[in-house]
Amino acid sequence: MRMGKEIKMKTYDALSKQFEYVKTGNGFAEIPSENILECTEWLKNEAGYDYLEMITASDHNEKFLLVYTLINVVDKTDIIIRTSVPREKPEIDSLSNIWTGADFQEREIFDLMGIVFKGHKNLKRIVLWDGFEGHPQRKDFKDVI
Amino acid sequence: MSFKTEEYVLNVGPQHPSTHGVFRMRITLDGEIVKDVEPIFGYLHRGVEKLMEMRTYKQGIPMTDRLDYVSAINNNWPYVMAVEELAGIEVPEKAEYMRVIMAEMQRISSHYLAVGSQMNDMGSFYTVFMYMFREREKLTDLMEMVTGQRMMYNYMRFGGVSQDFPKEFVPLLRKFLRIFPKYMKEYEDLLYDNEIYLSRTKGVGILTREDAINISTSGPVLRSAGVDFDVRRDLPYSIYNKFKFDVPVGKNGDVYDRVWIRMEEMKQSASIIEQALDMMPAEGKYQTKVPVVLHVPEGKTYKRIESPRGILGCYLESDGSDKPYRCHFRAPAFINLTALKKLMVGQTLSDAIITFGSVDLSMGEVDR
Repeated sequence: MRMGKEIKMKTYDALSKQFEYVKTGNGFAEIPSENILECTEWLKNEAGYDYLEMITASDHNEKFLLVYTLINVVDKTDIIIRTSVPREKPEIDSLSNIWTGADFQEREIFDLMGIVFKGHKNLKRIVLWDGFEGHPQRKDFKDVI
Repeated sequence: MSFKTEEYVLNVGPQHPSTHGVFRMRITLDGEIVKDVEPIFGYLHRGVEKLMEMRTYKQGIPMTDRLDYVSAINNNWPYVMAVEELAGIEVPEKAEYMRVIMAEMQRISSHYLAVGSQMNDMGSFYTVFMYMFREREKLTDLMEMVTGQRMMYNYMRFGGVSQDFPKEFVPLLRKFLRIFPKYMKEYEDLLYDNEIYLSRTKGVGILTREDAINISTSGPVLRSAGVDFDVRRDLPYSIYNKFKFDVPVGKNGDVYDRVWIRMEEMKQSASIIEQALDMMPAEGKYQTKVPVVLHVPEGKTYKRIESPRGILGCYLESDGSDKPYRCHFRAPAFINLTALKKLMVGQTLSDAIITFGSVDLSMGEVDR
């Protein structure tokens, strides 16, 4: 268990040395949203974090917060990356061309939260029906009933 | 003379004869070979994540039961662990043992349903299914003795569990564990030497190791491809580092491996329950005292467990009030569903249905 934590700390240090925009602390790494593709590709090819576990989003009024978690199945450690997009222009690069596992998760975030993933080949609603208007998980969503 | 052929779109509609739930597929066929699969779901979407933001933390526990209704106790666990970490609540040791015993019993009964309904898809119309439900009923009766419910248990609480074990429970559980190996031998004799079973499952629905990691599959689907990863052993939570158990790993990534892994995991779960019953302290509290309306300090956390279908995680954000700000569940069946396109294309239709059954979906989790 202690060896897993040491590998994780080394990865956070190596990540912040590699890219100067990374801020680490409190158990996660915070990066600007334009660099998400570059950062996760480096983690996959150089640091061995080739298993993308979860993508999720939450609504914080002026911005949307996005959380990505990745796992290294050989060294048995995990790493958490956070980024944010502004509410007026909620766009970010899609990871579905590198990881197929990101496909359905990004479609669900587009469907329920309204964030657009650039480069996704099939970005349409997945859980709600096709004629639905609005994005229900936003804090200012008002139901028509 | 050459034939003129054209492709035909078949709609495998939302109603199924097996217990796979309300799930729809549009399959494009060329003769009998599958060319393309488009899954369509959302028939069971209830908006659980948004509903939990409008209820207090304790009222959210029964809502998590309804996510993966086949193995309901496992869904309480990551949510309860996340709130306990943010609020700083400690769990007494006896309650940890009780959680492990109930969760492993639930794993055995969930795998009985998974293997039983897989055999339905192969054509043994409810024979193996009813034999496996004989044991699942015994386990359901035992869980009803403890929690009062047959399906949506609502058993875990912040700081422990809601009720103590009654005094008839432990002797009856030990009696079940004594006759369990005899039943497992009966199933192995029925299945593993059967020619029809072997020819229908070996070499069907193969998933390679690189694909399994790239598609983010987890649970028996990931382990059948040769990846040795199990959250209970590798990123341990609760008291799993005290038990000795093996993790079965497959070699070929086909349907035979997945069924074999589920049967072996049932035996390992029975061994974990025996060790837990021997090590559990006889005296002790089963729940820490927690205020009726709980205010959780500000913070964000992510906790994961190994459910029978894969890695189940809960991401929780709180803002200091008595209702969660954002609660998201990383559902394993939703992400394993992405592998369908890779697995089913290129096979005949009858093999494709068997492959779909071996991924083991539970629609409450896929749609949330």
